Amino acid sequence: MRITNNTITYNFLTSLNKSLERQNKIQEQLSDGKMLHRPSDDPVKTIRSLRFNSNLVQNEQFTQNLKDAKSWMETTDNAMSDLSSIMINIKELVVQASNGTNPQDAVQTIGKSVDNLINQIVTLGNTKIGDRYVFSGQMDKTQPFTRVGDTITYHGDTSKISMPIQPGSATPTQDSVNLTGADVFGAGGNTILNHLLEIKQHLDAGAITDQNWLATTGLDYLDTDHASVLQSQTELGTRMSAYEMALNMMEKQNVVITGDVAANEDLDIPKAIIDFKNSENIYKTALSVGARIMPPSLVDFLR
Amino acid sequence: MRSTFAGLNTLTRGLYANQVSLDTVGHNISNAGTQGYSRQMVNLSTTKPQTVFGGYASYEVGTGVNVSSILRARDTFVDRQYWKESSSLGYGQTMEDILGKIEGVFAEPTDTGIQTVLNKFWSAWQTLAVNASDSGARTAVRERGVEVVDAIQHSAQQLTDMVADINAVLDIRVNNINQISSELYSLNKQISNIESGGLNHANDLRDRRDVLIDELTKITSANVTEDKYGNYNVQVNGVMLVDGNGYQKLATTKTMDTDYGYEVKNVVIAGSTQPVTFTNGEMKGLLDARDSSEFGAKGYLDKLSTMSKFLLQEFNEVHRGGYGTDNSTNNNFFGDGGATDPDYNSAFSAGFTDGDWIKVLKVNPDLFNTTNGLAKIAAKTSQNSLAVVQSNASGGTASVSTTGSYTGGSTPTNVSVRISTDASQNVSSIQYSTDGGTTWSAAIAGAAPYPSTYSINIKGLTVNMQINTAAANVNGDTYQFSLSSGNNASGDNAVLLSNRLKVDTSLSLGGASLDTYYSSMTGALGVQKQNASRLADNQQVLVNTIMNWRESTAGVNMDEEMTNMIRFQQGYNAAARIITTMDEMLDKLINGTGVTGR
Repeated sequence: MRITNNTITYNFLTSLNKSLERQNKIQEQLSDGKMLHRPSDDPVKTIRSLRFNSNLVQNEQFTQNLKDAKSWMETTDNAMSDLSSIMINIKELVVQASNGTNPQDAVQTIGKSVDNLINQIVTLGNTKIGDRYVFSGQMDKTQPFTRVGDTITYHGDTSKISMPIQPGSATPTQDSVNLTGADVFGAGGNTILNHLLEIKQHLDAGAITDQNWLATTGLDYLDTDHASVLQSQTELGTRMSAYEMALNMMEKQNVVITGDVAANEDLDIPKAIIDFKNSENIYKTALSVGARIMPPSLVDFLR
Repeated sequence: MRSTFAGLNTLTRGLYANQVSLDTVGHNISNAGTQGYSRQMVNLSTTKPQTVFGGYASYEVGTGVNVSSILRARDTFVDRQYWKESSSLGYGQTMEDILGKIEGVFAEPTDTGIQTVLNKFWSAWQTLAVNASDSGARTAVRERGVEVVDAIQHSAQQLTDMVADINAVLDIRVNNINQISSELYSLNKQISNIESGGLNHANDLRDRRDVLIDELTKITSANVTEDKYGNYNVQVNGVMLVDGNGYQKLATTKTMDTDYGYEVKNVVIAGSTQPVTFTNGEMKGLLDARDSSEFGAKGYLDKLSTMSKFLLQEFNEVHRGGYGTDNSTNNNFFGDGGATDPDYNSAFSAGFTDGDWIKVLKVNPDLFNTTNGLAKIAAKTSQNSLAVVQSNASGGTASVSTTGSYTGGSTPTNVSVRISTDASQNVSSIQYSTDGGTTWSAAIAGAAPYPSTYSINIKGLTVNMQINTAAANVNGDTYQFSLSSGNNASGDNAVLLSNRLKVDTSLSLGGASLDTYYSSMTGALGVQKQNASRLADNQQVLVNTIMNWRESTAGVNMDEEMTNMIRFQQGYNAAARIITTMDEMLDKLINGTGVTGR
């Protein structure tokens, strides 16, 4: 093939440009450590990148939901523990009052203490996390318990609050986090409270018949009621541990997905640097070879 | 017998031939870098010999050299290859360029692309699902919605701007074609005049004409033939652009795109409405990149329109099915809003063009109402239920529903309603009390026919109460219910809405979820751009190879020219020397002979 000066120049420029293009590409990748800058860099990896990042956002959101759910359940659990110890406290007082050796005024004094403890229970029932009442069911902006004299009313509802931890619709049987007033205090949200008020009224009266009532019906009430409080706390505890496990799983998954994202789009830096050095060498060689082969022609040797 | 001075003529021709050859070497060297220049060669031939009769036979004496022609070194076959492939190169480069710009519009994968915005929108709904009663979470949902709208509309705007740019380039290219055509025509005339003798020797004009064809074939594919007079006949997809008699101008016409309402420029034959179609080259690239529903700006606008439509129809559908904290329902999340919030699944949107769907997309302005906007975001699937307690168990049943937002804070309000009945025990009026029966409001009369609905405004709520007329109603019966801020912690509809974005598949999105629809669109864009780049690269390599072939025939090689220079220089010198010799011989003959005895 006949080679002309233009052929050499043109081919030289083309390959020099190619070499620069390659350097530019590696340079772009090295500057932020990512292999993908536009979909055409690698369409398959781009789709995976979008999907992984989407999964990551999903995972982080569900982790956040789980944390919210956990803090809600922990608040509930603390209130339930306090409630349980107050119930024990009341029981001790009732046992003390019903042993048949107390004068009427001593029993009435115990009645005062129980009255205070009932107020404490109402306060516990109105526990808030942020500005949300935890025992109100879905009516979390409504104070659930009010006491007027010897009537305690429950204003919440019996609906569950769902905090989703997986894709799909809300399923209150699986992802609810709250105990409603009815769950804690029996039907109507005030059965147990009414029992306690009844006990308090008998203590206030303090007569022997009242003491007998306390020793039988009163103590029965307290036993079954405490058992029911414990039972709902246990249910909550089970749900909590399930959420705890889910949280662990989410966090593990988070590590996996982050790894996937990195493996998919992060640059193999040492390889990139070697590639860069390589292309730099090629570029330099091309320049020096070009400088040597381009100028000479017969013209240089004619005198 | 030959003439005494015959040899001098022979050498004059020799001098002349070497001079012309040296001139041509100079021309070649001067034009070594000229675009489209083909090296020229002097064709020498011997002149007619002189027959000399002598003795027994005649013999032929050479009379020297003649310049028979100066022709360019050119391979027509390679030219045709070049013209064919450079159209594909033009097409590939244009597609690569414009698809690269479309990639820039969508800017994936980055932290600012539509995918990220959709992810954030989804997260906001999930957060609302968990904290449904929190107005902060509601605000976040609304603002993320605005981001989604902005991202889609901004991309659509950029694509529309791109269409305008393409139209402008089309105009420029049509002008280029016209310029080239007119120049080709004038070159045709000059060349056919010069070559009327029959020899293709209008070398430099032919070079110039071939350069123009090079330029033309990059813009559009063209069929080039040469007629017997040396004219190029150039056809573009059946339209005769240039021949020996004249040339055809092209022009652009303006129409409006029926889907998106933007301006579209189309190429026609000037002075008529006959459209010109292009099968390859930059022109086809530009038209494809603008109009193709698969990989053009329009195709990507279609995809954005599909997404907008999905949000306005299917996403809104879920939102309309839910209830806000003010118990309102049938509210759109996206759309124009207004007193009668239109349902985009209904006949209301039947006449919408693809462009209208993008235009209409915005977060419902009603949600920005400072008093009740946030309350309209439908995070729950059921409305507040009110339990009614009645004093007379055998009385009529009452139904109570509310609208509006409760302003009484966390304390519920107990409402008692007392009824008055007329003679036939129809409920004729009611009174209500919010303080347990101490004070009663003035009687609110109902209208016949009974039962009628009573509306009462209490603490921001509009309470609609209806008591069935029943024979057992007694004058003075009471009904009680309690008003509160309601079951605002319910976020089940927010979960359904977030599912609409990531989980639910839709036939309008080709059986994918919105998330998948967008990511596969991005993937398709990547593949298209990659293909265009590959086509452009491959075509470039092919064109380079053809260029090298062409250069190898037509290019100027300095060494060769220098060698020729020496050859012709020496030839000239030698001829001159022979003239000197002849001069000496003649000198001898004239001045040295016949002097004997002088």
